[in-house]
Amino acid sequence: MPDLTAYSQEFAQLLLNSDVQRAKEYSLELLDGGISPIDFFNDIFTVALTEIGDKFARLDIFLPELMDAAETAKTVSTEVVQPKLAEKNAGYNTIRGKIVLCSVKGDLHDIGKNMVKLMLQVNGFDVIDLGVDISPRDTIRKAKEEEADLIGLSSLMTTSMPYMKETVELRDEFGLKGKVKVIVGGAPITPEYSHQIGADAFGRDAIEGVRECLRLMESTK
Amino acid sequence: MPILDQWNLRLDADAILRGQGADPVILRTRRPNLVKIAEQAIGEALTRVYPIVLYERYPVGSILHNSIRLLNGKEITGKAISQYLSSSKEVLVMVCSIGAELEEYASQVMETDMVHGLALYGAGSAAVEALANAACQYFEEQAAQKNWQTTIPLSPGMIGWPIEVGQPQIFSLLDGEQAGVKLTESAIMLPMKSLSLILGLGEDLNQQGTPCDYCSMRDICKYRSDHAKQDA
Repeated sequence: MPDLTAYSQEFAQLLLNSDVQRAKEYSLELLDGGISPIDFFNDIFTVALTEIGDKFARLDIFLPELMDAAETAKTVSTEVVQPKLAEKNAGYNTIRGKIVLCSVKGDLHDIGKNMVKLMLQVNGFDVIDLGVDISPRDTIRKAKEEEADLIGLSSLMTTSMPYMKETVELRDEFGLKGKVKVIVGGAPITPEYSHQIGADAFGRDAIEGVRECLRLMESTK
Repeated sequence: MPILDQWNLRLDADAILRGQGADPVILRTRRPNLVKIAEQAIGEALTRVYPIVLYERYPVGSILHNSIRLLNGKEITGKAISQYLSSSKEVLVMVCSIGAELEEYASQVMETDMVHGLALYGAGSAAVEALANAACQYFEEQAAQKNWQTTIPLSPGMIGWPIEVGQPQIFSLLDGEQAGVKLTESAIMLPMKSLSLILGLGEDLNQQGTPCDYCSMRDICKYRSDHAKQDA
């Protein structure tokens, strides 16, 4: 297989430029030029997103640029990559995991959660977004019903943090510990708090959240 | 309780970009399309904001350890409260809000266009911040007319005044619903683009420090340098 690094770098730049049309054309050129949809997805699309995430983590780009790139990637994925995969690799599953996501009870903030949602979607997760102010019981019920791999809990308020603990406890009571991993995040959340309440992972921001979700999925294989 | 609702808010794209955590100077060169989105958000936001300030003044009765007691018997507690308000003769409690329409619109937009939605949220944050700054300036000028001063504004959630402590205290002194603002059990104000503040009023007040000194976001806030410049 040819080294696809140069392609992923060029694709990352198109995403960062938010050049939707050119990003779609470039993807089609590569796909029609002999690169298989699976290789494109794994070695160009995903690698480019990782590179952009790393830039954000290094503060080389700002949040609106990250979101803009993610929106462009989502369009390319929906309009080019997924149809090509369906056409040439029917049955190939690009879904890396299913996650139930919400802002916990008492918390009405949704911007951070929505960013995590977008980043998870473009990184191949099936996201079931329950919204804001979601009780532990509703979260666990939905995770069970959907046979989710992960639960993502967001909280921006110290006053709503206890509901994260309650959700983890309820998961354990339902016998889902080890089956459904819980990741937590939000401004007041720390790794120590995450550990203290028995969550499986902590994401400082949307990028770290995606990385941790991927790690959790790897650990369940 | 008095209400002020005649405010002429001005927003600029830089404030909106800073509200999204970005450096406007860099983005103007690197990503002019994002600056355009921010500029577009200003127009959309200004037709959807309804600025209102509800306030009340209370005479200070006594100073206690880590708290002040008002003449009406109510106490306001917190390290920041005792540090900054202990020399005040009165406290002025206020809630500033721009209403719910912009945040509802931003939520709708965000479902289909995250970047645009984020700019609208940034515009809302910038608008309520501008309103609070304008209100503080107004009360500072009012105080100056009788040779009084105002302290720095303190908000629940600052270091030394936890949000779950401060918000109920403010709402016990103000009927927020008069301004269309409710406090939830978890101490969130609705509409969310609202700010609650307290100012100390009096003579010869200790004016050392800035609001940034007590802000829990002080290490990462993009507005900090601006406040520092204004305070210099």
